[in-house]
Amino acid sequence: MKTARMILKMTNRSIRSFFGRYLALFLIVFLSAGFFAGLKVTRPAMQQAGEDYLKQQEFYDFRLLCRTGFQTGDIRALEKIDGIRSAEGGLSADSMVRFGDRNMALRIHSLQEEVNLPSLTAGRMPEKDSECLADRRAFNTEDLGKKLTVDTAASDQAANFLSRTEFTIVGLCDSPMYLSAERDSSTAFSRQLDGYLYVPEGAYIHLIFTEADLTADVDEHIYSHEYDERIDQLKEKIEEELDKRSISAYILTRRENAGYLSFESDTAIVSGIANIFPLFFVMIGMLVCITAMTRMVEEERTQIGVLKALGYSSCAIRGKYVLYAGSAAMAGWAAGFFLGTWALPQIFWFAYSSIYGFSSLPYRFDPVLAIGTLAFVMAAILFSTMIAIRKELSGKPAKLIRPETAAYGKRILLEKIKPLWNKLSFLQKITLRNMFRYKQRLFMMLIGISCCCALVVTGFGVKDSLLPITSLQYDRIQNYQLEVSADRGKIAGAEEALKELAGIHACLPCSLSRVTLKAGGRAVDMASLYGIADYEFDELKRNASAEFPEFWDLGTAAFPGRGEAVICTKASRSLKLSPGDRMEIQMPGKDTIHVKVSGIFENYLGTPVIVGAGTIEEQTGSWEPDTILVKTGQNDMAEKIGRIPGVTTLSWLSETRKAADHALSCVNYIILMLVLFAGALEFVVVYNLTSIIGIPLGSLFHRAVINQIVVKNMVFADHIHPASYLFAILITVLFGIIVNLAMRRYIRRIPMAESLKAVE
Amino acid sequence: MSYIEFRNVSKVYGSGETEVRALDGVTFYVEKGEFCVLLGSSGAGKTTLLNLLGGMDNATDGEILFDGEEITGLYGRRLIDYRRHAVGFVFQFYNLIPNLTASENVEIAAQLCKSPIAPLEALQMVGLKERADHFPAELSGGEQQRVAIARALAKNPRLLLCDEPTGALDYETGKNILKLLRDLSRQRGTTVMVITHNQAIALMADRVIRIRSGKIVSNDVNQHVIPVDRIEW
Repeated sequence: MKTARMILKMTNRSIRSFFGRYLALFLIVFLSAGFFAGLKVTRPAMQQAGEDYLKQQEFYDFRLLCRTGFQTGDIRALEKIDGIRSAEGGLSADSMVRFGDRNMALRIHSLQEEVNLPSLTAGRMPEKDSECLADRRAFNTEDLGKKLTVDTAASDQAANFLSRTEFTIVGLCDSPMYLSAERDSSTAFSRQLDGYLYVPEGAYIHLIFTEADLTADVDEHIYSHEYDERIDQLKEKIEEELDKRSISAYILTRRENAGYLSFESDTAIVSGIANIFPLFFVMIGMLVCITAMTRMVEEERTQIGVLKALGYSSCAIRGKYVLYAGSAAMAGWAAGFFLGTWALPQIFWFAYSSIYGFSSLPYRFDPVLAIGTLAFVMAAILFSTMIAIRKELSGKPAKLIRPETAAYGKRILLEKIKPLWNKLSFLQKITLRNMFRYKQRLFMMLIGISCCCALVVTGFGVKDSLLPITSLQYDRIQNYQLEVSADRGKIAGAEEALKELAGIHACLPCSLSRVTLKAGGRAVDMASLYGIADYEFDELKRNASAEFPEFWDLGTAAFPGRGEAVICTKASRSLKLSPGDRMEIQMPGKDTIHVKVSGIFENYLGTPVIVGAGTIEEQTGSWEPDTILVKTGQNDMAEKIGRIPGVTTLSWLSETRKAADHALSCVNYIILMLVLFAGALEFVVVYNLTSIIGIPLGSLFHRAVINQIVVKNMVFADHIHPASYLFAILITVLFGIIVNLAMRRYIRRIPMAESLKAVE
Repeated sequence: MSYIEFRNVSKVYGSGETEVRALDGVTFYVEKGEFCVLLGSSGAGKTTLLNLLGGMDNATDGEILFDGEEITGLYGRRLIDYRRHAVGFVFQFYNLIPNLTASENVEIAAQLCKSPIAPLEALQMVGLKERADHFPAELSGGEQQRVAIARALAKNPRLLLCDEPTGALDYETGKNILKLLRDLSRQRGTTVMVITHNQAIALMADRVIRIRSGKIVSNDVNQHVIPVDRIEW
């Protein structure tokens, strides 16, 4: 149609002559769509990368551990279970290894063909039995070609299994069994492992497999509820098969793998942030669009009148503005969506690379997210465009052609305070009057800047609430440094020996088990149940519950009585429990303990539950301590403690703390991005509005705005430092000043003579 | 029946105490092909009258007929068609679209019609063909007004309405514009209505309608039409 062509041409010209405004629309959509889609896609993209990697490296779905070993026939029978894709035997031995002048605790895995394939990061795969692959986080490329020696004297397992003691490192690798940089603690040595090796099967003496690794035919996504359900079903079948063949084995799933678990929780931090954003987008995006379009329509008022007088229909004229705003939104969306969904996941992946970095992050296109964001952006932009032009478009052309009378300049309240008003300069007076003259603009500016500042406050708030949690947990709540596990019946002896060591301040024996908590149809697994001797128990001959508060700060919660338990905040929230409610604790065996919740204590990491030993004994028939909580000022005592008879593992809370701190440090990237995003938004908002008011806004105005915001945001301050507010304000003001400086240049560019001449 | 007829037309703005009667029972007629001048002082209701005739505003009361069609009864699509095909408008402040060139400004009007005059031809008629690619800001006031006239002419309208076309122009330029309008009316037989508050201009018109305070004072046919060149004011 001819008219359509003219409308298109006029739109095109409008874009060119009001490019700044077009750019503002483009930018706002670009920023919001990009940031939102990028944040939304980050977690799925990371999990996809993890899933792809685990699939490619054939990570086990089940790992069966059996001391007596699996026969080849057992493995074949396991492979035949319906739903199991492959099964392969494996061996591993925790060994002390001498490497140069270093003494390392390494787990030596047999290289399997179908499961747990290492991914080579340097060098090559072993070709001879004397060659090995090494953990790339414990070794570096300079170590390639060097030899390491297994210290059989110090390693029973290695001495029993390995046929040779010397290996040459020919390659470095990542392994699906170690997704994160964290390494297990060894059961053979009471210390954390330094890393792992992969050696050819030929390096083992007998091929009696102590492990059987199974992969299942499961298409469900990792970490999904469906995946877990499927695994639970298969687990039962495996148990049946094992019973049939009378093999007693531990069945481990991926949920018992530390790297697999931490990958899930660490990637969750990002998605939490993504969920608070939509509100800001809607508000700021629509705000900018409405003001930009209102202003454009106001400026082109007479033009609309002329077009109407010429015989253009309202529909055709509306088309121009829809096209103008719509094309800006479309372009902004396209650029923002693709850049955002590409760049943001990459940034986070980079931030996480020191912990995960097992593969590169492929681009993930989410069609639902793409269509969803596009539809939303277009709807919001077109809706606000319609609102902006509705009034003018319904006017009679005769009215539109007449120049609109300027908004009334009214006297403002401040003028009545003569001493103050008279002191103000001419420009200050105009600024103040204009502020009240253009109420809508003032209002819009308030919202815009409020949102930006709120965003910054949110950023700092997230930082303030997340970063100190390790300090709260390990400096205030868990007031001990070490958990020592020992064999059954050896606890009393181990405690005596510990107390004799210099540097040990106090010891507290207890039982520690991994349990599942259940209440009201909900369940929380991987909780830690601490059983504390609350009467003079045979082996210990003392009531330890009195000493417990020195080790663990329960806050206002009292030590639980018989049949009672105190639970942490996380358990109480997940299970919706309050004091007085009943709950079930499913013990590692088949036993279940029923308790009443007597108190809730503050806790940030993990899911601890505390009961008296008497409660466990009463309901399961027995109780035995297996762990000693130790307070010590030194952290170099691993070897001395390890030599105590009966001691199996040491876990230092400082190690857990380091890992948690590491994972939380990526929050800093989020804050940085939030602040940059807020800055960009404020730039667009203030740029867009300042050009309306036309007079540079003083810091006075900003201060007024910010006072309001601070009060508004007090409510969500859970853990926000006053300093964070200050930073947020400073940053907002800084952005505002930058925009005003930019605008000053713009105003200087307005030619004085021409602007006075214009009659239209 | 005359070409243009106003029958007891009133236009009221606002209501209650702020009510303003811009036109108060206006009745007059204009014949086809006439060059008609609408004379009156500021606020007399001239522009209101022209807007009603151009379909740019609604009358409060009475009826307006153009070529046998009742304008006051038109709305929606038919009103748009009337504006589009019957009327050409020339405004006091030209109202060109600033980001379109002279020829594009003419084109936006020409595109709407069934039998338009080509934009360049229309510009040639007003003597501006060589400035077709200039933007309004690059043209003088008189040139802009000539583009505006070309825009109105390009639609090949039956009725050309001009609201103070020389109001913002200097003496000589204004005279040229009036001569242009007069000549065009003669050559093409277009009915032209020009608003002015300048008595002298009335001398060049076929018909002079005087209006005061929203009422028609007189409606006379000028027996002694004087060419614009010979009028001085």
